[in-house]
Amino acid sequence: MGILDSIKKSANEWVKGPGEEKLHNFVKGSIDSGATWFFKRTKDIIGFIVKHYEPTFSLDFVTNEKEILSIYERMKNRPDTLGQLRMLVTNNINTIHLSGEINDAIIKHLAQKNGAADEQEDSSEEGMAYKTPKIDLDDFNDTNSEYNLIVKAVNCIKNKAGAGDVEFLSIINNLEKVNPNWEHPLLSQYVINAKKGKCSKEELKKYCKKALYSNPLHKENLELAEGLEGDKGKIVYRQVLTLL
Amino acid sequence: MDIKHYIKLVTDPDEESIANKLKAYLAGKDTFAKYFEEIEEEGALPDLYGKTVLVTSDQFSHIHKIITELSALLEIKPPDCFVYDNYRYSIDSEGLKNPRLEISARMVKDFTSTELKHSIAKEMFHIKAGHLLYKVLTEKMIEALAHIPSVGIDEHISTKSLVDGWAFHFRYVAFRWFQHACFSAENFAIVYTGDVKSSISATLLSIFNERKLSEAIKIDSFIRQIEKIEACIGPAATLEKINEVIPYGPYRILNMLRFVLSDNGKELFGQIGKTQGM
Repeated sequence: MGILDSIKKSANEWVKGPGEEKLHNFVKGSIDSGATWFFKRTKDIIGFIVKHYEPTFSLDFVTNEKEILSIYERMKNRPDTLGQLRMLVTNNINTIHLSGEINDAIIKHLAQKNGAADEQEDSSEEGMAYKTPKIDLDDFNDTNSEYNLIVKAVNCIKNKAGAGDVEFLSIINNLEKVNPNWEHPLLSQYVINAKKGKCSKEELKKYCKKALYSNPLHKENLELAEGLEGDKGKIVYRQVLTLL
Repeated sequence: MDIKHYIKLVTDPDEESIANKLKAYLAGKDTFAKYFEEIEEEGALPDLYGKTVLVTSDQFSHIHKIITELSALLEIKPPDCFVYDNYRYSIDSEGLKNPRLEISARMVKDFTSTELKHSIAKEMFHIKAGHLLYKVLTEKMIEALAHIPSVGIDEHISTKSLVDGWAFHFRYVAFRWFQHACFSAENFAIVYTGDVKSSISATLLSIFNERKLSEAIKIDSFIRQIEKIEACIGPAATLEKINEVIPYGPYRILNMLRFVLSDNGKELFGQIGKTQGM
């Protein structure tokens, strides 16, 4: 029954036999219907915007396991954000195992898209419709792509092969070749630990810079970077250290 | 090093590409600019002279000195600056024909000299970088969009839904551009002061309007709130985040720290203005 029908029905009942309780029910019923309508309408509008205009959001800073798992649960049925989700789960060694499931989901959705269901939309969270994932297929399939190298490196850390491990450092070297400007909140710190005392000052400076980009208030990295700088650069690190 | 080079080095790496996207949306540029200059900007002047205090060499001379120094550095005509009564710590750059600063008396009274330098430098960078024109055009376009009459296309669709969709995209791009323009201006301000703590303090004060509260903030915990902001991924939260014109505080602080720790930031930190004998 629509909102107007519901109000009409309540009003008719009141007209047939006015009374305080009926009036009470009529007004409260109208508010109930109005609130339900308003809530649904608001969700419809938001759903419409999300579906058609695909506002983007960043997940670069989420590293906490609990937070990642919560986002994973909410987003795993949203094909349009699977690309972001697969990167997100690399931010923590306890969530990296989910990258396999996400890849399977991506393959499934891409297959659907390539099949007869070109126009098919996936409905999921809160009844909203989302489009198919935006994935660079070349990158997705290439075992030496930046993303796949990051997954390998995080898995290396997870398997306790972390600091100083030959395989880990070889993956990082490949990552450097693919994209010297790579940034990753978890990996850059592990690289510093692995390289400390075993590489040139310039190389250590480079990884310190990467790590501080993800976390500019990391005390040990700030102190390490200060020691690697000339007098001019030291001033900045000293000032930033006073914020801690 | 000339000022153009300084500006290039402090400009946020994404600002230009987003500005180009924004330019593609703008319409009626000359008309809106003319309207703003002749109606709004000119119309604001009597109230400014009548209800606020104009900064001169003998009224708020310390503010006057900062503006004079920054104008020489940025190679712009010194903007008029008006001090007005407000309970907030606020400062704004306004105007196209004759850009001006408007600063709250509370900010003038409570901010340290370096905090004032940061706040004024940020706004004067907006003037120098030409941000005010795009800010005005965006505001006028948003006002104009609300007045486009709706015509039915068929029984389900009217031109309103098309305009609304376009407006959503436009606002999204415009607000993103302003966020990056804000980052550029704050990059300039922090290297200009050469004082990380004061620049961050000025930013926190302008957000929270209360020194005790700002001083109680632990910067690394405050920055970590970004993780919580990013974890708000529902459709409603996503739209809310998009509707923010000025970046959220933790992002502003993070951006300034990232910049001063970058190669460009370290190179310029505390050096801008030195050659001018400031």
